Amino acid sequence: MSVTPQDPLQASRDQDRRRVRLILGGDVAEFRALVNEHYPLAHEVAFRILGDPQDAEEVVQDAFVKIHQALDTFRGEASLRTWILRIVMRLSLNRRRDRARGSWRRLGLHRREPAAEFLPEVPASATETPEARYLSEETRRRVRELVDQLPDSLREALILNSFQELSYGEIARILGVPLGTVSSRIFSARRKLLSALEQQELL
Amino acid sequence: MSFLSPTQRSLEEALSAYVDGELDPDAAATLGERLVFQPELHQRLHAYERLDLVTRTALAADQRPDPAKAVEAVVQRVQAVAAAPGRPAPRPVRRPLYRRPVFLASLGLVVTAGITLVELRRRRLV
Repeated sequence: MSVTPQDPLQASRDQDRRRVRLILGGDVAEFRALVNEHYPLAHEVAFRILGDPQDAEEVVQDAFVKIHQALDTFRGEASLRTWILRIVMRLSLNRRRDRARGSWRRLGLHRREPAAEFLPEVPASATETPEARYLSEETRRRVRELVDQLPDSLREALILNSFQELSYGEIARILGVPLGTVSSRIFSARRKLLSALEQQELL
Repeated sequence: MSFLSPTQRSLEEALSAYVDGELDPDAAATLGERLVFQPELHQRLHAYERLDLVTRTALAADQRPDPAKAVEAVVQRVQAVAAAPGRPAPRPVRRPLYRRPVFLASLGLVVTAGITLVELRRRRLV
C-alpha cells in the first residue's frame, strides 16, 4: 500500500498547532523548545531594527511573554515563525518610535557601544560574529546610518530581507502587505543605499 | 540618484529580485539571457549583489547572546509573569454628579419649566 506523502507546508502547520496545544496544556519543555528554536532569529531581527543589543534583548523577552499569553489566539494560518516575527517586529518598531520621541536620540544616548554595555551581562562564550570581522567599522557604521535614514516602510522590508531564511512571501505576511509591495520596497531601499554608497566610494 | 524610466525601473527591480532568487522561473530565464548579452546589465547585477552582501554583513549583530542563557531568561520571565497573582480589577470611576448626562438633562428640564412658569404668570395665564 502506497502512502501519500504529506504536503511539507501542511506538515509544518500541523506541527506548529501540535506544539501550541502542548504549550497551552502546560508543557514547559515544549515552550522552552519553541523559544530555543525562534530566539536567535527574533533577537537578530530586533537588533537590526533597534541597533542596540540590550534593547533587542528586552524587546524579545517582552515579545515571548506576549506570545505565551496570546498562544490561544494562534490559528495556524501562518507559520509560528511568521507569527512570532510579526510580534517581534511590532514591539521593536514601537520601541524605536518611543526612543525617537524621547531626547535619547537627540543626545545620542541610544547608541551604546555593544562591547562596553553588553559583555558584562553575557558570559564569555558570546563571541564576535564572522560578519563583524568582514567589513571595516567605518563601512558598517555608514551602512547602518543609511539604513536608519530610510523611510520606515523601506527600512523594515530591507531589514527583513537581510535574513536569507525569509522569502518575499514570508516578509509580505509578516508586514501584512502584498508580495509586489515587498519587492518594490526592497528595490527602492537598495537604490537609495547603492546611490549613497557609490557616491562615497564605499561599494 | 538618477531618475529611472518605468522600463528601466522594472528591469532594475527584476535584478534586485533576481539577487534574492525571487523571480519566477520564466522571468529569471529571460533576464538570464539578457545578462549574457548586456555587460552593463551584468555590472548592475554585481552592484546589487555586492550591496546585498554589505547590507547583510553591516546589519548583523556584533555579538550574539549566549543562546542557552538567553532562552532560560525568557522562560523564567514568562513563568514569573504567568505565576504572578492577578491584579484586582480597577474600581470603576464614578463621575461627579454635575457631569452625569441624566442629571444634566433633568436640570435642563427643570430650568425650562421654571422659565415657562414665570412667563405664564407674568402674562396672567396661570
